[in-house]
Amino acid sequence: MITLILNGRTITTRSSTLAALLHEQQLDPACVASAIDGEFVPRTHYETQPLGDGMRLEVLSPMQGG
Amino acid sequence: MFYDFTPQSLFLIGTAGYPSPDVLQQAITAAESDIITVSLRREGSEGAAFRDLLTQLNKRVLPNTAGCHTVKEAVTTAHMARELFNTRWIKLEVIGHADTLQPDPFALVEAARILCAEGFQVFPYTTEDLIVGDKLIEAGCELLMPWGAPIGSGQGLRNPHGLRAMRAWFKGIPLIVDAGIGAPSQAAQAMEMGFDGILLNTAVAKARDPVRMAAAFAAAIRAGEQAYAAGLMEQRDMAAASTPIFGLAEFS
Repeated sequence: MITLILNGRTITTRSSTLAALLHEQQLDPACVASAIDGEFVPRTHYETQPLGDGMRLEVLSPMQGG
Repeated sequence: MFYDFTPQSLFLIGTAGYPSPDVLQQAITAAESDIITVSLRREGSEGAAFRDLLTQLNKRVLPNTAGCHTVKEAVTTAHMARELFNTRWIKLEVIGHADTLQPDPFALVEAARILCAEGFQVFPYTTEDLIVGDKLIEAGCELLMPWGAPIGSGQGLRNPHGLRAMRAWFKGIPLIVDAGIGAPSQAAQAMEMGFDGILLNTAVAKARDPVRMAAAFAAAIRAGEQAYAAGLMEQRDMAAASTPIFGLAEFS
């Protein structure tokens, strides 16, 4: 099990890749953009992007803005 | 012309803070804007509905880096926005202070340099400072977005002399007044000074009737644009009769 922070929330997961985690969290990869520890992770890397303890993930989507 | 895009409307409108998605959609229609600003946030309950709305609206999307306080945050947000919205455009905000929401010009220039080098078309939210503007152009920005007043303050053009100087200094560079506009008259004032566009959000979103206010701004921005193109008369200290003196009757 890995413990990490997803959008400010501490979670534990069995997922070993970012793609698996998004699937587990029911987040559609086509509708989000991701960053790990402040670095952008392109969508094409989701399948191979490993997850680790203590990682800070931001998974963002389009929202209202000025 | 904003980079490779020639807009029909010089009114860029924000999408935040409307009473409902329906009012937002109607307001954008009433504004006749070609360009709307959006942000990236953690997925909330209304995420899917907003994505559908964006598809329906079918406007050019200008994603922002609102809320970013460092170069790193802004650059990462820009990368995420490019992928998510499939656009090279980024409204670059690097905020220096939470109370004033004033741009941090040093971080702004640094972030602009990085993003321009990576092929972004940067819309930098800046002040009326001419040297900062020069540095942004040097960094690769092809337009500038000076503030009118602090974001959300509705004060209008707080430094009209500074903005006028900026307009004169950056000949041929598109300048969009972004932030602080509270009333259509203020938007018209900026357009009459020769600015190339107005970006605003709160003044429409928080109006009692946002749809009607969007239409009012659209009309004011068009009026200001036309007035600048037509050439405003010079102000003078004394009166100058407009009715001809010739042929005036003598009654006594």
